[in-house]
Amino acid sequence: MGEVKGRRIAFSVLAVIVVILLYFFVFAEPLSPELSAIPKWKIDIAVGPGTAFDSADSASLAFAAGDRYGYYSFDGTVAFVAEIPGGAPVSDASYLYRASAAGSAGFMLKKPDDRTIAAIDAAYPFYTSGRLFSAQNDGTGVSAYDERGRKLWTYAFPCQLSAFSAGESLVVGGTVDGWLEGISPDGGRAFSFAPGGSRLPVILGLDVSRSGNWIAAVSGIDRQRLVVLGRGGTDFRVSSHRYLESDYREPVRVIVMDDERHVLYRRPDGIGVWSVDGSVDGLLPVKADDFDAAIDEATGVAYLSARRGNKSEIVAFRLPDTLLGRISLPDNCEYIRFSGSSAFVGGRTWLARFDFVEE
Amino acid sequence: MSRTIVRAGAIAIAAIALLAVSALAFEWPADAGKFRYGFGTPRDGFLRGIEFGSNDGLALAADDGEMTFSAVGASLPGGYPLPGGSLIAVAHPADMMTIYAGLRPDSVSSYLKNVRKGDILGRSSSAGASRGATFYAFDARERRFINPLILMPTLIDDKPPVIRSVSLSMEGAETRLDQSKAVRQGSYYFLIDAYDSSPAGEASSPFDLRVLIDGSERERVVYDAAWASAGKANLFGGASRGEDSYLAGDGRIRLGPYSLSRGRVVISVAVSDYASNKREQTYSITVQ
Repeated sequence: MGEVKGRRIAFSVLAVIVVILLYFFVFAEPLSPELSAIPKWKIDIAVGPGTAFDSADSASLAFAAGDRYGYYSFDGTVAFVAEIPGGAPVSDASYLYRASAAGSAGFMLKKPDDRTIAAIDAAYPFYTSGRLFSAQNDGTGVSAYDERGRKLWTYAFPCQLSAFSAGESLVVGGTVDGWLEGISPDGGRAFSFAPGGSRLPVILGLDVSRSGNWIAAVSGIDRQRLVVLGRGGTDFRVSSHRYLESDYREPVRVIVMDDERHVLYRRPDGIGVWSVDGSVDGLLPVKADDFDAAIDEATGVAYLSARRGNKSEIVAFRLPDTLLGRISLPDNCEYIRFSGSSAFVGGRTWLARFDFVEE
Repeated sequence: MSRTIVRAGAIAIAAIALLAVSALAFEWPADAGKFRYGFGTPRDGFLRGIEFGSNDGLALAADDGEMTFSAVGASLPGGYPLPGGSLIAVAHPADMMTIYAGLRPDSVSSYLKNVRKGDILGRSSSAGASRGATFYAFDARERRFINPLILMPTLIDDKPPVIRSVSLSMEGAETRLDQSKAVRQGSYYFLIDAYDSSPAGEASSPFDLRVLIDGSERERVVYDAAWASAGKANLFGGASRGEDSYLAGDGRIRLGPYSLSRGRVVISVAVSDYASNKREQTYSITVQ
C-alpha cells in the first residue's frame, strides 16, 4: 500500500518536471533585450534669445511649458525661449505671437527664426497634428489655415465640440450631443455619424489616424462605448466596437497609433489597447488622466507619456500590451515629446534628452 | 412666395412654442439682472445663448437633468481650445440640453451626475474676462439652439428696442435713410442697426424684426433658433438665413436685396423685444 503511494508521488513529481521542461522548450520565447534610457543632455533655459540655428533645418523642435515656449534642436541648442501669459500656440514649423497693437485682437504667424509669415485674425488659434486651426469663440466652429496663414475654410457644427482631432486628410469634431462630423480637405462635410447605443449621447474623446482612414471615439453614457470607424470608399463605417465599464463625463484621451492598427484609450484600470478590427483587447497597467503615445518605427517600441495629477512617467512597451519599462519624471515636468527612440522632457526652466537603447 | 415663408415661419414658431411648453420652462441659470447679451447679439458672431455679466455670480442648473460632459482647462485633448476655460452639458427630458460655457474653471461642479434644478454648477467668470458665462438651450432632437428667453420665466420689461439707423447699401455705397430723401433706382441691401437694452443695460438683440415696403411685409425674422447644417451656420426657425449673409462685419443686420423702383417709396422697419415692446421707424424716399 505504502509502496503504491510512494510510486504515485514519484510519478506526480516526474510529471510536474516534464510539464515544466515542456513549457520551457515548447513555449519558449526569446527574452526581449533590456531597454535602457541613456541621458544625452540636460540644459537650463531662460527667457531670451539662444543660439541661432538654421530654421530650414527640420531639426527645430517646438517647446511649450506653461507660459513659456520656444525652439531647440536635437543636440540641445536653444533658438529662443519666450514667455507670455497663457503661453503661445506653437508647432515645429511656426508659432503664433499675440499682436500687441492697440485694437488688434489677432496674432502674427511666425517662423522659428522669428520671421513673420502672416497676420492671423482669430481669437483662438491652435495647432493639431502640426496643422493650424482656429476655434469659434462659442466652441461650435473651426477654421483651417494653410502654412502661409491663409484661411482655407470654416466649418460650423450644430453645437459645442467636446472632442476634436485632425489627420492629414480628415478633420473630425465630436459634439456634446453625441455626433461625429468629418470635414474633408476642401472644408465640406465628409460624413456625419452618431455612435448611439447608450442611454445618453455624448462624444467624450476621439482621434483620427495620421492617414485619415481610421477614427476611434469614446462615446455615450450608460453604457460607454469605444467605436472605431474605417474608411470604406467615400464613407466611414463601423469597423469594431466594444462596451466599456467606465462612466466618464469628462474628456477622455483616445489615440490611434501610427501603425494604423492599434487604438489606446483611457480606462479606470489603466490604458486600454484595442485593434481597429477588434481582434485585440488588452490593457496596459498604467493609470493616467491623460497620455500621449508614439512608436519608434525602427525598433517597433512604443512610448507613452502618462500624466496623473502632477506626476508624469514615460512607459515603454511593445504593442499590443507588453510592458518593457517605465521611468518616473520630476513633478515639475510639463513637456514630453518623442522622436524615434529619443525622449525630450522639460519644464519652465530646463530641457533634457535621453535615448532609449536596447542592450 | 412670401405667404409660404410666413406660413413656414408661423409653423416654426408654433413648434418652438410647443417645445417651450413641453420642456417645462427652465429657471434662470443666473441672476436675471446680470443678463448682459441675449440670443442673436453680435459677439464676434451670432450669440447662440445668453451671456451673463461677471462679478462672480452663481451659475445654477436651469432644470433637473444629468450632467453628461464637463471640461475645464485651456483646451480639449485634441488641442481644440475651451473658450472661457470650461464647458458643461446637462441633458434634460424631452431631448433638451443646457450648455454652460465660461464658468470659472476652479468653480465647476464636475463631480455632479444627477442635477436638480437650482444646483450650483459653478461661478461666472471673474471680472475683466472678455466674455462672461454663457448659457445655451439646445434642442438635441432637432439639433438647434433655442432662444433661452422662450424657455425662461418672463422678465418685466417696458422699454422698447432702439433703432439707431437704417441704411441702404448698393455696391459698397451706403445711404442712411434718416439723412437722405432720394436714391437711385436699383437693388439694395438694408443695413439695420437696432438693439434692445438688456437687464444689465447692454445693447442686446431684439426678438422680432420686420421690414415693410409700401405697407407690404417683405421680411420678418424671429430670433427663435440657430442651427448648422453641412458645416454652414443658419439662423431662425422660419425664414432661415445664413449667418454670414445676415450679420454684416460690423454687427449690423443685413437684409435683402430689395429692388426699389422709381417713385415714392415708404420703408418701415419694426423691431420688437420678447416682451412685445415695439419700435417702428418709417422713412419716405424718392427713387430716381
